[in-house]
Amino acid sequence: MNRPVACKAFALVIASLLLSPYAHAQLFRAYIASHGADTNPCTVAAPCRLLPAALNAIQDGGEIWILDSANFNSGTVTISKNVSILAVPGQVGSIVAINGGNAINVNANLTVSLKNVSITSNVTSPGADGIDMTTGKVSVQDSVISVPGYAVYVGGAGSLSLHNTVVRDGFYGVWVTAGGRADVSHSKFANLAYGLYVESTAASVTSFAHVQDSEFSQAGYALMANTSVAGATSRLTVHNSSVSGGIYGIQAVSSASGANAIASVGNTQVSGVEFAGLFQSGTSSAVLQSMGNNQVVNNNPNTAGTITPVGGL
Amino acid sequence: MKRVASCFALSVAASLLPLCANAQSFRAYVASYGSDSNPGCSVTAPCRLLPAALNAIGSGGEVWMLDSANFNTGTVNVNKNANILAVPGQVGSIVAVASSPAISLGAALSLSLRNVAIVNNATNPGTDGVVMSTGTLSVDDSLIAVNGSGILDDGAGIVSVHNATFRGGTTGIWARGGASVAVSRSKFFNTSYAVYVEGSTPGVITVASVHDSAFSKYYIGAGAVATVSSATAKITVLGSTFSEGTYGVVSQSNTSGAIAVASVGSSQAFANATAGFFQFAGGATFESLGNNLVRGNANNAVGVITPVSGL
Repeated sequence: MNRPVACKAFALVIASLLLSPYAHAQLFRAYIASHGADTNPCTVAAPCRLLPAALNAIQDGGEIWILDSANFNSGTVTISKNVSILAVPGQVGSIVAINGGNAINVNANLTVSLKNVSITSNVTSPGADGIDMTTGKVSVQDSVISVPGYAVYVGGAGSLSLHNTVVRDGFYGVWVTAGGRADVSHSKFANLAYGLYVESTAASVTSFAHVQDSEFSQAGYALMANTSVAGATSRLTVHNSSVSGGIYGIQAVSSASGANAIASVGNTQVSGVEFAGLFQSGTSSAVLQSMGNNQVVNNNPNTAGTITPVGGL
Repeated sequence: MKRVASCFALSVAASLLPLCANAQSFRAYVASYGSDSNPGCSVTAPCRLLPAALNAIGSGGEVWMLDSANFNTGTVNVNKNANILAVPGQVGSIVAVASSPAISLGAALSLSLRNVAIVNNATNPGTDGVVMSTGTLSVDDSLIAVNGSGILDDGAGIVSVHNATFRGGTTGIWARGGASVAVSRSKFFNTSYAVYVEGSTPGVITVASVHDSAFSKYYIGAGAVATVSSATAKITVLGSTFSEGTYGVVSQSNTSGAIAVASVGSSQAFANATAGFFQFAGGATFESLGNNLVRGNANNAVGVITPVSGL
């Protein structure tokens, strides 16, 4: 045994272990691939294998490119810096919810974008939610989310933008609470207990959700604004969209006087719903505004509670 | 004797082992270069055909088609909950062949199809695309072009079709026996009965909704047709186009007590050879929201069109 050589080698290993995080921290763009290894520097020539390694490798505000079709996590991916994650078009960037955990947790006050990803649950060891966020801004585009829990949970005054995405075969679709905001466009929600749910449970807190050009089919509760506390407000607008099948269509629910739940609906189709198409319930602080150009047919009944006509401008 | 016994044991073990190993897989892979003898249909050793991959996954698992090829040789019987997708950029072909459907979905099961192309084998033609009775089917970003029905939902099944193209064939989506169908952002071209809701079971309601879709070159674009007393067929249409066919949107009752309802809003019908909007017989109701553009048809409206106001 040549001790000096061994010591030198040891020192080199330590140095490389210490240096590598700093080297990776400078990357603007990190790459992952099915043929990658997390011991690689996450470059395009030597990609990493899993998302956590790539997240470690990028600087704040950097990008991660998924280069080929595979699964890119083995447990919850916790995002703790601003990042854009995308799968290269033509590939399936799979991220699974597994072992009772969520697929992705986004820490507070971050700006995160996901494009062309497929978030599903590992059926042999099922997970919970797709994306959990509180504050910050998260955009999801051109993606699929199908998990047993919440597809996206907005649990704080953050903003979610969901565009051209399919949310299906789960329990909750998009759930917005605690002053969160969600805008949903060109998306499809199918086979969910709750499609899009916006609530507020604290006085002086307003949660918002806006839906445009989207379709909801076979939901227990397709779209709902629900407020339970006086002084709290949940606000839902739905335009140029479709609700079909399922049990409840579009609802405004207030369970306390002064608990404001307002749903506004225009140029939207609600049909084949087992119970109410448009449904205002609870106290008079629940308001369901209809623009008068909605096609609400073949529901049982088409409306329940008070529907407030509002004109277009 | 010993050798025979051990050979037998080995062959039994070999036949059992792959099954046991495969039963736990969440995701199975098929590829043009795969082989069905590959255990577990892994990404590095994919299988060749869908039945092998379906055997390999647990209920609710996924099958990925890794490259462009055809992935069946006969009807694919789906007998567990499954999600089948072709990797984007690839053509995941499933053919209807030998007078049979491409896919048969077992009762009360859930199947999602994404980025697949279900077509007819012209040299040995098949019948339908997907046949189902109960259960749940989601089809996204796909093409269905077969001789028979693109999707036949012949029971209380639930169908969601989004961003799909249906071409040719007798029927695009045929719903009956209590089916519930939702169609959005889809195109139906050169299909005799594009979305056809049939009320043929007494006491049972079959429904379909259509949003933001385009229909051309059909005999019936979107039809609710009730053929049996006390059976009900309903279709609602919003934001869609019906052009260059024979009948655009139809509500038809073929016998007394058979109930058909079509409701149409924010849509257009033009250049239809017989009628843009068509209502036939007393059990049929055709509701129009009054904001449809129905022009340039041989008859813009035939039968009784009932104006309904929006809400």
